[in-house]
Amino acid sequence: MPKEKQNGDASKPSLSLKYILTFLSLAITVLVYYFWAFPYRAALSYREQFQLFLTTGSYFTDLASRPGGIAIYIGEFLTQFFNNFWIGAAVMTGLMLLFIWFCYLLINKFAPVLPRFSKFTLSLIPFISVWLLYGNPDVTLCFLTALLIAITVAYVSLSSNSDKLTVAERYLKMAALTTLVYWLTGHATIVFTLLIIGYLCKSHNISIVHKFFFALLSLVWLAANICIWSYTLPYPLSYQLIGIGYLMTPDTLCVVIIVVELLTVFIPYIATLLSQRPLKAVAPTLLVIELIAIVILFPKAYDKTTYRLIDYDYLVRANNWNGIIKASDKHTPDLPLTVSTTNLALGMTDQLDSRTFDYYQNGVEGLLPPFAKEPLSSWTTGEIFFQLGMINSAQRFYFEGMEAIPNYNKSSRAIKRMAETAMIRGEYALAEKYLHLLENTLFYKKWAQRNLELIKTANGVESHPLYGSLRNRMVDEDYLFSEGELDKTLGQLFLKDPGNNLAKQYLIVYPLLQRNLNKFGQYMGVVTESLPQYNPLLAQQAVAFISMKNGQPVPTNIVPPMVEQSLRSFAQAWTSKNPELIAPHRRTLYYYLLSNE
Amino acid sequence: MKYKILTLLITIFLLGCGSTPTDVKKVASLPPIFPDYIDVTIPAGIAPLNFAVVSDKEEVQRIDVTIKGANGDELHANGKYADFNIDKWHKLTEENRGRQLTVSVCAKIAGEWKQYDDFTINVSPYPLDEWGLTYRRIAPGYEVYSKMGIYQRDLGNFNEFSIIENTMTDGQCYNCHTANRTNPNDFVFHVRGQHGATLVSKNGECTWLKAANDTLGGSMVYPYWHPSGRYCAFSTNQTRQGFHISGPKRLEVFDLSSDVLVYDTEKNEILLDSLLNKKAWSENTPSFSPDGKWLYFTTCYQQEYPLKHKEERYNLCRIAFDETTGHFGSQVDTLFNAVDLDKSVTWPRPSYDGKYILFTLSDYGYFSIWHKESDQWLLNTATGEARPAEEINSNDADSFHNWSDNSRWVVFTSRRNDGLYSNLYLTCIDDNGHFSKPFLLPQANPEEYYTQSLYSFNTPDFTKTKVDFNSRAAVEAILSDERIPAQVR
Repeated sequence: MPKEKQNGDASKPSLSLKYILTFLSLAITVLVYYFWAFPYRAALSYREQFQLFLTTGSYFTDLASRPGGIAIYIGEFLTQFFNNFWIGAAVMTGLMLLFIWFCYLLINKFAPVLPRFSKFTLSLIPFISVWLLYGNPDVTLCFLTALLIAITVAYVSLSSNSDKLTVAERYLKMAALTTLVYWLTGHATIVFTLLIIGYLCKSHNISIVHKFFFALLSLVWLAANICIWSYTLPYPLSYQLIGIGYLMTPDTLCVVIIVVELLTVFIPYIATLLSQRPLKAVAPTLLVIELIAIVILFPKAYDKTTYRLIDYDYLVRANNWNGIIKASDKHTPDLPLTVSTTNLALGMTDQLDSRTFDYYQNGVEGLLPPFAKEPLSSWTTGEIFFQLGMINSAQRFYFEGMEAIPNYNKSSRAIKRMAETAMIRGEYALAEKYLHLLENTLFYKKWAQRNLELIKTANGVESHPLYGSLRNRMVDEDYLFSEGELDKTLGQLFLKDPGNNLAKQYLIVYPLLQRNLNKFGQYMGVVTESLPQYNPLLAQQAVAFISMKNGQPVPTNIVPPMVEQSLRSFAQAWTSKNPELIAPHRRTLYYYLLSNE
Repeated sequence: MKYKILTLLITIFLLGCGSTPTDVKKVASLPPIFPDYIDVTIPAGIAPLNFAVVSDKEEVQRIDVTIKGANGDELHANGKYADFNIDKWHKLTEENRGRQLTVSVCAKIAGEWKQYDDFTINVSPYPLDEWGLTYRRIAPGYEVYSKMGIYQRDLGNFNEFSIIENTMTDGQCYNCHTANRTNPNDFVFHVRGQHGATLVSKNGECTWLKAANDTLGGSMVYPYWHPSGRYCAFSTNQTRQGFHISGPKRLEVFDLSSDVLVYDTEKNEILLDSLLNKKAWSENTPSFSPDGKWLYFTTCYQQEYPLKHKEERYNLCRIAFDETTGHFGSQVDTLFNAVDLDKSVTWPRPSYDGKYILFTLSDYGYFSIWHKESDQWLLNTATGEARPAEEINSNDADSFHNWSDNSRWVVFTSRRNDGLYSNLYLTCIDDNGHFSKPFLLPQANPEEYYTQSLYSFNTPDFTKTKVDFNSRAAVEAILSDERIPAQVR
């Protein structure tokens, strides 16, 4: 904790208290770092992918020309470090500690005589609110940056000796700083304004009339700033009031942001009130209340379903297929995105044709989801197309996902994949454009330069292990994409390259998910024509099922005894109509085929 | 003494930086510059043609450029890229109207100064009287669009102003801003989506029409003004999209049906004619002749979509139009039979002097910007002959275009730069109907601008003066949803 002005004995901590404070500070640091570096690291990747921070001058000037643009610039600059979650977690920790520190300084400014432990516990209240706020993945780092700038300027302004200023100078200083802070942060200026007004109001040397006029004029001046800027900004006034850049959804009012701002402003006032009647029980009581608040509010702030989607998206982005399967083994994938990514992961690890029905399935949409005007779904579906070798479709889904980002940002993740799809498609001029763009970033620069070299090397792309093989997988025949007939494209992908294991598995599973056993037979015929030895578990189960359904003997050259036994066991349970007996078979192909679930 | 040392150190540092060419090595080739402004023809008074020297192998540390006019005047630029002083550039081009500028380029690459062969820039004798350009900027996407808007650009400098942006209205789509013969006082544009409308603005008075007309069974699309300013022609495209599963093309735009109509702005009336509303045919992309007596349009035999989208081919036709009665002629003439060539016509734009019709030709369809093979063709109205405008075409999509008021300059969209993002090119036509080498719309730092831009420019047009449009009031009108239905005659 920072050194502070010592006013009276009350603020002098005892030795044991010093240790407690040091321990608490360290514990918070470790906890926050661990939180972002491990269980919630995917949230860092999630935020990073919704921006394309460029190191060029025009990127800065473009942002700097609007209010709050500097906070957005700094916020985006810091967010790019989320690319590496070790550094990203450090950035998050650093910002949050900085926030506690400034809250503490402000409390100390307002109530210097308050015991140190009380100040510390009070400063944790805004911090906890910020921590809970960042459970909303749509809140960008720009908000915290803006808030930090606003309270830093407020603190510096309050710390500078203003006593010698004349009334006019005081008003001028406030006007100038309000304009400056509004340009730097946008909406968060209200925190600055209210802190300054509040500090003035607590002074006993200034008349009530002066206080009233100062408060009134400060607020009017802030409103004037908002109005003047609104004429130059291409946004509705409501965006300015909500805070441009603070959220990925610019038209959404986030109540928790307002709560955070109110707490940042009012905690120093509360500290002032507490300092007038210091009680020993304040700090421990506050700590207990804070802990209870965390326990109650955390599950709401960090919604499990939302974070499950974010985790899957992160694993898809990292192509961590085993990680996806591990996550799905831990918690049944039951959302469209988790189902389709689990199937992709199974396919990438050559398990789809044996384990599809180990997990919940929602039909062919679980293999190839339809297009949705939303980034996460678009990108994960785009990844399926990319891995299959449907490069045109992958390009479209990544492009559309980027365009669907609600705050009009571009995306580093999408641009990277779009550069790759352009390279695979032989659109080198376009790939170069994207790669040159990525050269202006911190984390993608080297990758971009490597790929620029690759393009310029004769047969560089063709001989690249990933790009070359994906190019070879692309179907030759051109026709228009049809969502209802993607199995035909899967068939073409397999025929083009029988080594395309993913296409092969998707082709076999597709008709099974449609419960169309005739089509399955046809597709199996196509596959075994090229790969006569191909006989995965699902094929064995399907053949056994068809045989039994048609009252024919199960072909033992295709179906091993174990599979036949499992089918008989299922048949017994199914005909019994006893839910308890059926329950163990719910995750089987047989159950899927007969039930309508 | 210490100041002397400091001065010496600064001098050594500056010499070390090597800002001026020394020990120059001659290179027997033209400089590899971006944008390619070598031997282009420009109007006097245009924004400076700033450019960069690009090298695939080594970083270009600095360039030194001298431009000499025929009368000996010089302009110099030295830096990471050639950034010319606007006033001096204007003076130089004005003084060299109808003559050539000679450009000498030196580039410092890997610590060594190289001097390339000089090249020329032609300053056209023909003026470009317009203040600037209007265009839409939008990402070249499929179904989703992010930030987009209609903008205007001062051609004498690098200033761009928004006319309206969709960020003001929660992501609406704005398109087809069309002025009457570059006159910014009369224009239309469409708003698509939740608060859809067609805005007809005449002398600052805005009429917000219903976006879709139930009688027509569609929206008013692809406008073109009658020279009188009373009428505006539209097509009624029921547009659909398809996405290529493979091959170099990305997407197709086709119509389930389309007709052509004329809107009478005085009577708020839609004028229809059976020859422009044939059931088995799709009429599209209308435009009026400069004397207002003819309505040009394209038409194709309606195909089964999406299966036969590659058989959708349009011819260029015309029908007489009487502006006093608002009646159409009784016969349709085919001006250019593209179907016979297995090709398709789109975007016919007559020059305002009546000499030519510039159109885009592609293998099929009409949404030519997504067709790499699409090219500009020029039809001579006196002879009826059409030719590919090879002098301005590229290997990539060359598409939408418009003429300047004096019919000497053309602005058109092209994807020649990277194959996806449409940029604006300007070209000059001479007395023999030949175009000059087109030049990319200048930008202050063109390499950075065009590398960073993830937007396409489309539906460009010249504008005589800056468009005076109250976008705040327009946003209020858009969000109010108060619309006037047009009556069908």
